[in-house]
Amino acid sequence: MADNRYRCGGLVGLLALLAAGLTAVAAHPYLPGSPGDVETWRWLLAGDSGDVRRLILTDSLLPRLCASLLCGGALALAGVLFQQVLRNPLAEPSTLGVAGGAQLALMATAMLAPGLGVGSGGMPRGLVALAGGAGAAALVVGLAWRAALAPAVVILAGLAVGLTCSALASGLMLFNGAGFQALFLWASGSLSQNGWAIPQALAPQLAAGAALTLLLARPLALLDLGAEGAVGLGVPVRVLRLAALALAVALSAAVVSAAGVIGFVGLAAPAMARLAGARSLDARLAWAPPLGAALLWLADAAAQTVPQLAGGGRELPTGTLTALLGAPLLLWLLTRPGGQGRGLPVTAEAPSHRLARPIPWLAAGLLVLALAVWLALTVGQGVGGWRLSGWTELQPLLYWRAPRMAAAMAAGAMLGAAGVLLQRLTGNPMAGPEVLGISTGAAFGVILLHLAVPAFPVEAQVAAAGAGALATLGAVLLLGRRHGHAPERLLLTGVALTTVFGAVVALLLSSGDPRAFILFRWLTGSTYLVTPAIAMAAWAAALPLLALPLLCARWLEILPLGEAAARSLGLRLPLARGLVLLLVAALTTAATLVVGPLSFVGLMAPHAARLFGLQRAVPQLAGAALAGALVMVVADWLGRVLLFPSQMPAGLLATLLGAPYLLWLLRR
Amino acid sequence: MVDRAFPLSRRSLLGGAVAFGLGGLAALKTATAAPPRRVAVLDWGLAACCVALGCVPVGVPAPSWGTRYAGAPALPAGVVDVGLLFTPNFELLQALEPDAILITPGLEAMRGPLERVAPVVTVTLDRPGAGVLERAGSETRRLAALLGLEAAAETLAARAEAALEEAAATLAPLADRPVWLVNILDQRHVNVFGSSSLHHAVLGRLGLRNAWNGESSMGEFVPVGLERLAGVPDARLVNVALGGFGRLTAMAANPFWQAMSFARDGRTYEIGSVLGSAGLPAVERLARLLTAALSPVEAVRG
Repeated sequence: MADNRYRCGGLVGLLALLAAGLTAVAAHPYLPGSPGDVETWRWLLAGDSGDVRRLILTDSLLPRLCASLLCGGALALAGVLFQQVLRNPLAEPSTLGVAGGAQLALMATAMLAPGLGVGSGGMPRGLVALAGGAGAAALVVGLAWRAALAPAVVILAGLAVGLTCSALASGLMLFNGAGFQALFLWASGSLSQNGWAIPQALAPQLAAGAALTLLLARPLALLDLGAEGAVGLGVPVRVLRLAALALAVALSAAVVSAAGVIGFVGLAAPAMARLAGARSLDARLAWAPPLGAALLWLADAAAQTVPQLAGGGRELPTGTLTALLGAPLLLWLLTRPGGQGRGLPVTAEAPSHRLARPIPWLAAGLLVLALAVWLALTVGQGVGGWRLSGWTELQPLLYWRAPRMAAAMAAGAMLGAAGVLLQRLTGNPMAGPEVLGISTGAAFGVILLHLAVPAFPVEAQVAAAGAGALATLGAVLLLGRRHGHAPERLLLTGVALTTVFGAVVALLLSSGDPRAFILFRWLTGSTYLVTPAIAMAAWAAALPLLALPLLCARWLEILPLGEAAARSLGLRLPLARGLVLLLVAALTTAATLVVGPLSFVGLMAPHAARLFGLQRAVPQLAGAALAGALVMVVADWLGRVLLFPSQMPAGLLATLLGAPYLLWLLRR
Repeated sequence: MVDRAFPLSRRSLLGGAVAFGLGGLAALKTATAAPPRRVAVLDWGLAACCVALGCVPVGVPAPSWGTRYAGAPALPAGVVDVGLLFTPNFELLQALEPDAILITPGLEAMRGPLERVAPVVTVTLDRPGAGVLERAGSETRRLAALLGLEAAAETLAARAEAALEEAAATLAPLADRPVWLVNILDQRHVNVFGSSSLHHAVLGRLGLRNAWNGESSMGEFVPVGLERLAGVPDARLVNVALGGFGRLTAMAANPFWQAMSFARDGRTYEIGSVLGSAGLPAVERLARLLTAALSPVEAVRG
């Protein structure tokens, strides 16, 4: 115990020392003399209140330092609570959709009620963010209530609610990109202060949170016995979970409303406390907040001093820096032996009937798809409103409608097939190419290319996306190998990668850089600039890639049975897994290039096929490809006509169609 | 890396823009003897400049937002909304049957599909960097030549020149202090117009010194925290109300802002929105707005 204390204390001390050094660098230009000089301190404590340099120190840098300590402490405390209740070392303040809900509320208010001045800051912004964040969390809790707030359900509901909110917020941004720069700044997290209002508001909130945590600490510790064990000891598990989640949400919402979205502190601080030896809940509750405070102080001090040392220019948002510092830490944590790693339990597949003769049904599906294609090609809006075009009238319109529809269809089919492959490979019904981070990796490759090279041909973008997808896939495989590709770790690695990626995008968007908008359009999954050549390339990739999985139908039947069964049936497991994952990467990369990284199609199409009764590998593959193609064709069409003349990206609409479907699956 | 990449990209885009622009011009000249009358303009600054030249576009993306950002002259009510700024609706553009489509280098990626609708011309009224003011003039004239409105361009140039002369004369006593030219984002952040912006060039032409001397290669402006403004104690501050007024007034309740010398000593001013991408009309508008905002107060003070 004493040893733990020394190691945790040492870690806090080290971080604080580094942070203090950077703070001294940040404060140096404003100090009249050396910090060791008594005169300097006298000037600071009782100098001329009109002195601008002193003002910066007392009303900007110092409150900022306090805010970083308070926010770091509150986020870490919330993180410990979330992790204890949700039984997952990777749960954190944004897991319940708090950040996504707050962001959506801000965007919507800024747009629908500009009179409130939400876009330009002030008190309303904090309140609106608080309401949005709490609302999203309440929705998640409501959805998971029937399942007694079981961790797996809460986490997945949080993921779906958060992604829906983000997709809606992205849609709003597309309509007012230029007007939302202030909100982009907020979304990437900034601790910049202009007085003591925020630290003064946060301090009592954090104190109240800490007091309530003390009351909950004992029953919460009993959750380590498992839900059944805790019930056996007379703990009202559902009420306890609700109380702890409410407290944790309140703490994270307070921080979000004060400083925006600051990633990873809530995840990293409890993890560091654990790694430094604070194993019991009491020890983690005691050490995580100081660690979080020191960590955020360090990240914020670095955010201030890095541009200063690099010769001026814009400051880096603290939220982005914490996410970028936290990512390697998180990935390292994922490779650790899982002593404390209570993984996300794999939710059981929903039972469903099995169709004896799938062929007629698949043929019917093709017919529905043909109907959707006809609809997408002939129905649209024009100057005179809605129109159903005949053949002659269609001729000049086909060039605009057919390629994007065809490309969306190919992408949807590929994502659906990739989803089936991954779900069969991992035996996890929640695995999808998007959730696993492979499409995120592809997108990351494209972003890096955009940043590094001013102009490039389309082939370079393909290569960058492919390299990004393969690198991510490699990382996922490497990290998963130590744990026999444990499905929950694959999933969480993807979630981590997606978070980092979001931080980088927010950073780009808040810069006002015109390239950001072009990237943003691609990131939200647009088929807008698809030419006939791109559509044909998409189909040229789709046809062989959709046929190849049929060759490994036997593997796909055996893989879901688990490792032992697969070995006893004589399957060469590493080879089978490797080849299937390669196929997944190829399918996902090709689809991502057309529709961008944001779409739930790969997750939901396999379920649609399965619930329909297509249980065996080949029928499920065919059904999922059909369902994916159908959803994308409909999403692309809706995006084109719904808000005419403005257009919504197909990927965004597919998410808005897909996330509620995921929630509905969880309700059952 | 980022900083180095962007000017490069801009330069290459410019090269392309000039080549494409001239090509488009030649194509127009050969295809139709008369200058285009029905013009779709896919950028707000460009649209504002066209209106000032006397050519009302048939289609502009999100015109209501365009008017908010470009300030005067407002886009007439008959202008058709052709979709979002970076995703104009091709089907609708085709239905409008324009003679020409005007774009900025930022939309170069969609030149291919646009050319199916009508000849496309790239015009860059703002090329942030050295000589931005001169280029605003030459590019406005080039746009006018394309539209067959050369006389209107000369009128605009004369008016801009007169506005600059008058402003320089009126504001000469203000050369004693540097000026922050900002766009207030929220209670803690502002965009500062940097040395590559048209706004900076106009300030310089008026004999005023921009208080910002940091990096600005990323674009027109740089987002910074308020504390950066405190570093120049004697400056004046002008808020360019991009997208709407009211943010300077909202700062009255901000103690940190109020403690800064420009706020404490009443040296803050607010002017209407001026888009740096609107060419000569923007130059004239900025000069007049600055004169109107800065001169009366200083005159009263003597």
